[in-house]
Amino acid sequence: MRNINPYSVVATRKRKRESSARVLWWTKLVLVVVVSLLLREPLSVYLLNNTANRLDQLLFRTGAVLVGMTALQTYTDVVRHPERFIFGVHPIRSQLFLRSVATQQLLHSFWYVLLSIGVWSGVSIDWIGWIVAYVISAWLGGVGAGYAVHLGSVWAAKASVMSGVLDSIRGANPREQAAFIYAPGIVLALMGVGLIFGAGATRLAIEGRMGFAAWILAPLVIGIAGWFTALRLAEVHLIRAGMVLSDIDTHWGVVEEAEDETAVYLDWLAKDNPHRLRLLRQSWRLHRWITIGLWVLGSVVALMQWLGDEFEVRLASGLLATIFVVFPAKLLQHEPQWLQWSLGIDRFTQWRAVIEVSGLVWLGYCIPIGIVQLSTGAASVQLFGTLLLMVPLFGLVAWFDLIGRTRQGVAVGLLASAGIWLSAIGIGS
Amino acid sequence: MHIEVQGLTKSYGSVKAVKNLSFTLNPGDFVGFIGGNGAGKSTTIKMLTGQLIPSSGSIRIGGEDCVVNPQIARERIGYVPEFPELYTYLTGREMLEFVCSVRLGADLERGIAIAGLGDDIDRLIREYSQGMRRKMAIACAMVSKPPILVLDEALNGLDPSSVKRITALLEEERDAGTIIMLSTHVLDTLESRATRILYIDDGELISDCGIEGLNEIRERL
Repeated sequence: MRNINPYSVVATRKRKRESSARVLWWTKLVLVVVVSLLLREPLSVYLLNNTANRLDQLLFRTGAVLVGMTALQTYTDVVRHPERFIFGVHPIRSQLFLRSVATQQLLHSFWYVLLSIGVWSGVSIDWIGWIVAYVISAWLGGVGAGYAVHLGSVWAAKASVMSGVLDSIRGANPREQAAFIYAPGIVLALMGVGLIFGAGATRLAIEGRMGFAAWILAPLVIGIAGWFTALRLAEVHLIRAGMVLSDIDTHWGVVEEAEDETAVYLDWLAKDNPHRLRLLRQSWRLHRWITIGLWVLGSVVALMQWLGDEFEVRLASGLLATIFVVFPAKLLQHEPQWLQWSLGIDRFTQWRAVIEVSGLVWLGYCIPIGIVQLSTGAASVQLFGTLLLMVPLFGLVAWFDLIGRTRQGVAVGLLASAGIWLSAIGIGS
Repeated sequence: MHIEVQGLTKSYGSVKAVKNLSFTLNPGDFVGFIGGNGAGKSTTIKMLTGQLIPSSGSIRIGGEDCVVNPQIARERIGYVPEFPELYTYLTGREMLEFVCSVRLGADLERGIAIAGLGDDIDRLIREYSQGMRRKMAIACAMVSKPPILVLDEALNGLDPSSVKRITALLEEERDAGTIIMLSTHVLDTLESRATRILYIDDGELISDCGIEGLNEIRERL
């Protein structure tokens, strides 16, 4: 019994018993295949038409995306684990826990590796081995460095030596939150150095200059160092991660309660519609970060539009839209059906309100892009048509949810959105 | 084993949830921890059980500082939160097996007996009623026979026969020297069982008295 990792046993049972895991597995497989098939040719053509330096840049971006993803997910693993309220009331076996979440992380994030390799699979067969080595090096490096930095951020959150630095960058957030907010950026910065060397070495190896080939493993070496650091840090700081997070969450709970915050985003659009108003309140009070995040990302993408990179605007929009398509299901998660039923609210009324509110939140992303497009005279009817096509998809996801088929609805929504956007990106390229 | 709390304070900005709390709990104490809604009971319990970091003050269990090393609190305290969460995709038995593998000295058969779920112990927890889940949470807290038990509204939602059975178990533990801290709004539960009452209001310890003080506190509440 002592040799078995209890956290891994639980994770394995979860994987086997939760039917959503199977649906998600198939959804991911289809997405990887579809996206790979659609992007491999444009990427190869792009490389053929450009100088070899572009190879460095594209490899670096591929690695950076992988590291970015793992930086966020390793944060969830060690700080905001969704099951922390279950295992957190008991002693934590730090090293066993870290090994378990790392194994799960590798299993879950392997899809990104497959996708990265799939997208690159259209290049010459002589290149692909080097590219695979680089991608795996970046992926494993991101995981190892991610755990080290996030556990380090738990130390930083409460370290008196860091208080001055954190106070200067925290803005309106509690000091501890500043440590967590900036940690993914530190992972990227740390890994960035390794990725630059790794990408450069991969290009040189492809060109037949083998002298620097070992540098392809630079990200991996950083990751291995990170992993061993993480194992040491976990002994003290893993247990504190949940405690610091509880502090932050309770702080916001107390502050928001004290402010007696009642103002709600766009509530003036729902004065005569109680169902829409209720959902707007729910959306703003439970998922405010989504609304704010969409405005921020919309502004960033609008800037890309202004700089004239139409392809990247479509790619970013497609990625975001495909993630956001699950939003109606998230809204309905907090709408008890028995309550709707007992209040006499029919399904159609509820459905319409979910579509309206999802659409209003989605507008936060569309408006900045629209403003830039109109002001630069580069309005793309096709891009806006595709952005608006998301609204019927919200309806589709919401309807599946209302008839008790949430997982199927999310799967259909994700696939439909990916299909729509990939065809839009394909036409654009 | 004693719990010594000294000057325990928890602040969120200008809001003080717990103010300068000090008390000592001794082996065999059955403490009723009571106070109105928002009095600071749950915050205090979370600090005691290693779920929250105090803003200031100290908590020592068996002489060891739990603020510096919260793992000590998690190892020595069996804790049932107000809203216990369990791995719903495990069976009751598997949940207890997990707890046995992270808690030293745990005994699976003891856990199964405390849960008192009969054959349902081999059903998935997601099929359990709220009361059954609460019994599981209590079994998880008691399975390793910890020297301290902290129960936050742990008896809510249990049927009368289960309340009777669990309170009898708690009395046995008290008699064996376990420190029991039970936070509850149902003051009748404490009568004839509790040996001490800690009453807090607005984050401050208002009264630390024997069970004879319960009636006076009942009137204040």
